[in-house]
Amino acid sequence: MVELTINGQKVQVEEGTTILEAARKVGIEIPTLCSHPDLKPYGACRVCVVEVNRKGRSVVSTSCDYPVEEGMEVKTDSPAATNTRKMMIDLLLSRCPNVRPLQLLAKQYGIEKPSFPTDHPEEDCILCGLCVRACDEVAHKNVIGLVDRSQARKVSTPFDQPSPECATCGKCIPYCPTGAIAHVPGIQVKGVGGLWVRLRQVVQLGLLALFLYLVWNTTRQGVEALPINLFSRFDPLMAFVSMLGSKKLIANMIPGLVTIVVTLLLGRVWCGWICPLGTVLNLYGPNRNPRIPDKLRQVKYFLLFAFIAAALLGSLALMWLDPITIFVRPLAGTIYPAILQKQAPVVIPQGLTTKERAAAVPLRPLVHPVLVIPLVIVLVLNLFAKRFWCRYLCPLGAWVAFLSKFSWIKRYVDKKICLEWGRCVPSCPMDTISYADLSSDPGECLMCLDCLGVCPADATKFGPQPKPGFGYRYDPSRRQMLASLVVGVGGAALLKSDMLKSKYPYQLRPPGAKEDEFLSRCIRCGQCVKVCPNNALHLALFEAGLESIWSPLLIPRIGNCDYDCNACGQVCPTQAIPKLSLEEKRKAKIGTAVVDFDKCIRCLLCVQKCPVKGALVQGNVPGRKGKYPIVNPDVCIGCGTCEFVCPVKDEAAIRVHAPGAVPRT
Amino acid sequence: MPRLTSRAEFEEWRQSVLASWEPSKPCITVCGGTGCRALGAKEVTAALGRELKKQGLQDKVDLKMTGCHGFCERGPLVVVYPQQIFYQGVTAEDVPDIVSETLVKGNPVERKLYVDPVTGQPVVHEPDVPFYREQKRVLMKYNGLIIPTKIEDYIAIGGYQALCKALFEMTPEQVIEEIKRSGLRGRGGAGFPTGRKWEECRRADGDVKYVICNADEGDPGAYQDRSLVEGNPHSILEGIIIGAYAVGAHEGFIYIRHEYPLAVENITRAIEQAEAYGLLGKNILGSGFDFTFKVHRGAGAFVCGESSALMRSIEGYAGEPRAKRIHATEKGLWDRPTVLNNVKTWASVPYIINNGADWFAQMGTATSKGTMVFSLVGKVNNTGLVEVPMGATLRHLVFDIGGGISSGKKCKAVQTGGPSGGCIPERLLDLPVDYEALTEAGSIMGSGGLIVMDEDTCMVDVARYFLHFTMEESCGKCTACREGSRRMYEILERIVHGKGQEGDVERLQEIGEAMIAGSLCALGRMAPNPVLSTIRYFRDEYEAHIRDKRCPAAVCKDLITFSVIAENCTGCGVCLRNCPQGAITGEKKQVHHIDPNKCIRCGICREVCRFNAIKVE
Repeated sequence: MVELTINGQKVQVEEGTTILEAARKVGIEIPTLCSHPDLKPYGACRVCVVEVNRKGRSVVSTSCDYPVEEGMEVKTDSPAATNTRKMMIDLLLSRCPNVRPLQLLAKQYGIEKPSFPTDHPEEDCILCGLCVRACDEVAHKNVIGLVDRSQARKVSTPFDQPSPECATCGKCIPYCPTGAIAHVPGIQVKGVGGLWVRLRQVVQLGLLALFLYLVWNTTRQGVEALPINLFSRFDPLMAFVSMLGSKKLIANMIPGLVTIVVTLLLGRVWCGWICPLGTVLNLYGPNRNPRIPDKLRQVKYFLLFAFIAAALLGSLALMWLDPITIFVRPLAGTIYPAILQKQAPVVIPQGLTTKERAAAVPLRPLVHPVLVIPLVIVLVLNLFAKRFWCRYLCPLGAWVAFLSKFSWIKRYVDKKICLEWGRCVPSCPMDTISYADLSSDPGECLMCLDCLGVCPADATKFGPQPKPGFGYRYDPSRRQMLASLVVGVGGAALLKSDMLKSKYPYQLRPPGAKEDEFLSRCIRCGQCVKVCPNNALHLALFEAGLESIWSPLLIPRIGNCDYDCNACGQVCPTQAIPKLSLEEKRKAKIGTAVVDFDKCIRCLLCVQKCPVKGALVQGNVPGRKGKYPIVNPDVCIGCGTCEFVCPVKDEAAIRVHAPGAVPRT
Repeated sequence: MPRLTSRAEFEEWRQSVLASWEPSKPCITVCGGTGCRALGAKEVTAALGRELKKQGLQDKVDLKMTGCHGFCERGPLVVVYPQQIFYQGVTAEDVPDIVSETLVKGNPVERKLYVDPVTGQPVVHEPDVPFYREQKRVLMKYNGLIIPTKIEDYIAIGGYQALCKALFEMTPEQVIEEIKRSGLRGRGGAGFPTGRKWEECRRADGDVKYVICNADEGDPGAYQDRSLVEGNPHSILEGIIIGAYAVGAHEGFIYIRHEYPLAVENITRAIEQAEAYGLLGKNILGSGFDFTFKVHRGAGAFVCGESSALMRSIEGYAGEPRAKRIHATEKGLWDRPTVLNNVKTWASVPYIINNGADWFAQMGTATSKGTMVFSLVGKVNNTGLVEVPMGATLRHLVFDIGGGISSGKKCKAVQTGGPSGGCIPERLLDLPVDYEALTEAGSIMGSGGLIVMDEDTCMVDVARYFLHFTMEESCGKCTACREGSRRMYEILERIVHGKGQEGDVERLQEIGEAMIAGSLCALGRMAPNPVLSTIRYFRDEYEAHIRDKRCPAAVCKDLITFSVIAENCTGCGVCLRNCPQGAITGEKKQVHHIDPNKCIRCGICREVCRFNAIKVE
């Protein structure tokens, strides 16, 4: 046994022990990058330098390869040792500025940034030689070695030729402190979860394809055969908010409740595996962007609270921010018609008044830019950071994020086997993995398993974790939550107030929809517009009031409601347009036709074309000569066929008025 | 010749060699060192051979192509014995005169004599040339006298007598004691006492031990080891055999640069000859002592001059140093006890054994004994190899032996110890050269390089040059050396290009100190020396570069401008015609002008101007 002093503490160790081992034995930590208990000391990184006093002579020396001697005095943190160590760390950090263990170590020594210019920021090999020694001492292969000298030094195989040995061995991999081993020719560092990632990609792309297929086929013909509103119906936010808004259990939205339950079990799988917009956003954009503050993540929570508050007041106006509707609207209203070119460019019927022309601006067949804007913004934001929308803005994301904080299965890292390379950090499309301890916020984790895919050691785990994931810097405080609730309530109240309501009398809704209840249910997805065979339904902009934005309007002058069609009610996921049988729909009142006898030219085409028996008949009008069309308001359902066919220029001589706006005669 | 199997047989052979050795017989020696060969020594020797034959003197006069004489500045050198008439700068055309005048009539050929620059008088005899007169030659003494590839010549000057003495009259312990008493210290630079090293190895456990001769001389401008191996290989071999006997080694290596073909050839020949005569191999001279010796050629890595890297290299691995927690004398080559010494250390051994420790110890200073061979180069009149006792002053070396500064300007500094050494300023030239004094001054003895610098030398540029060398030659194993030298070089590069920043000097010192403390081997620990010593003595030059963007020595191209001094310019047009860039304009007989935007600061105009009319600032 040899006795020495380390930092004033007497230590007894066996002869042949190194200073580093002796210090560790008594719990004194000396940082080191090139030593490993399995391998012979090498003394390359020079980070473990300490001050050694032997027989009155003091030297700074590495501790990993220094055998203890009787009476030796060691100071691990003397100024001389610390300064040297600090310089070594700085030099290494300047060589490999993006290597996680180095960054963490540098931080401990107060080095925030490398002091020297970093010409190759991608360099990650610190030339510690651990892999080379593992290849020799553990694998007994001696395949890799340190090649060349000075600045050209690197780890490689002879003549940089991949060796077949490496393909099956891989024993060096766990010894690499930085992950640089992956660049050595022939050494394959595969993530253990590659298959999982592949599976997710297949599911994601398959669902995206299904989504596009369904949107494409959202036509009258497809209504019976295909579950075309499938994605909307599984939308957990839609389900929650529409039921909250209407205060009713909507049978059609029960799948959305299933998604909520799944989220409580598995976390944000909706975002990571299902959401078609999320899949698109996952395809490009940088995973990390240090210029975007993490705090921005709370914005989505504010949006969510505002949504909930507004929904409580019966307003779903904000649902145009739901990712499914953001994606469906332009597809249904812009891109589909543009591709089809069936009705584009459409000629707005000559007969429309100026006001109606304005109302008809968001014309379905025209490639209308306004519908595309939200999607384009979301896609452009993705260029700044992958899933920018999902991270910072998406209210649906916030809803499932909130639920995921309590989810049963969560991501965690098994520190016992983790290699600390930090490969998972840049792999995360949500950039939620902390550099410092590799943990993640279950609310931000999409369960995409990309981190599992790159983890070389099977240390990333997804399993039961009882603790809810709170306490992140960007988690909204109670006060912020309250504030956004107030904003939501205020906003909804403002929207509902008469001030912003439209006084336009011809504001017709799809068949069966009741104006008041309609707005608390309509999620502005535009699927009804897509399915309408007569081009009668159009998405409103502001003409029906601010709250009505992107809700469907029926404009008979452009197209009449087909008497033999009930498709819109079939596709509406929230049943804002009730799901009526054809019989029921034929009786559903949209509005009431009113004849302007001054304009009528008595062609009686409207009477001829009216599909409802007894709703429009020819008859006499007091004080006027000849036969005029006469509306029976009790029978008329306001399908607008009469208005559509009226040959009078500009405003038709017979017009359908909204239920509350029928003038007294 | 059969193998000699006893001391008596050796003595018999020695007598026969001596019998045929006539010191009074006329002999003409041509320096066959690499320097003189490059200047045409081979042609001179061939011409001499032809001329002697023509005159019918071939039997009356010996012609020898010897090892390096040392005065490389003036090669090819020819010395005529027994008078020791010294000719310099000899060409084949001079040969007939030398033969007919000197050999036949005994008169010196005036035009080939060395002219003392101080007195202006020609010097006839070699010992009277100041360059030689001021030296004390021990190791180099016979370089100019013997044919290196002829063992008989070495025998004739007393060779292998020390080996006989050691083998037959002394025990290994006595040999070690003698070396210890002599005070011989390692000539590789670190100056570890040789006797102590041998003793440690002798006492180390194990029956397999090794001795190694380090001839991996890599310092720019240093070539004394090469000259010794080329010129007197047997003296080194003899020293090594004695050392092996002392420590109990039976196998040895000389690690020598592949770039030294003549040295490799000569030492290989010497080994073959020694083996043939039974001076190497099994049962040397019947003493029962076995020793084999092999040549191991290095591939040119500077770091392989470091002992642990050198041993790695011999073992067959890449030359990388190891931490020397356990001395090589306990665990060295293949983890066996090993003694590794420099060429000059080994070469000193036979002289110590022959003449006694006291003789050796009387030379030198209190702590540094014996002589040291320096290669004196740079801005000095007499460049070459000089051997002086330890403790001689730098001024003695530069001015008395070196003949002063060649440019006629003031001496500014002397760089000692190669790229690992430092610069010693002119005011410290009276420093006695020994291990301690040089270390004290921020430099090292190293393997004996001395580079003399005058006022036209920019100290920042010098530091940058040496640092670039060590950076490139760093093995790259440890962070301190690999990354530290690179960062220091980057800063120096910035400074000489006029992009220095305030705080750069402090940064250099900071990295330098961390390198000294943190490097694994001496290469890294000493790499900052050129920088730190120039900062120590010439900090104002650094500051001029950084603050004023000015190079006081007018060397750093980005910081100087060339202009015409109007009063001196005669308008001759020579500069205009020679300027490669067409940057000079001016009518004939009018003052010329240099366009600073076109000028690439090559300095040709200054060289060609006969009127000293080009000014550099």
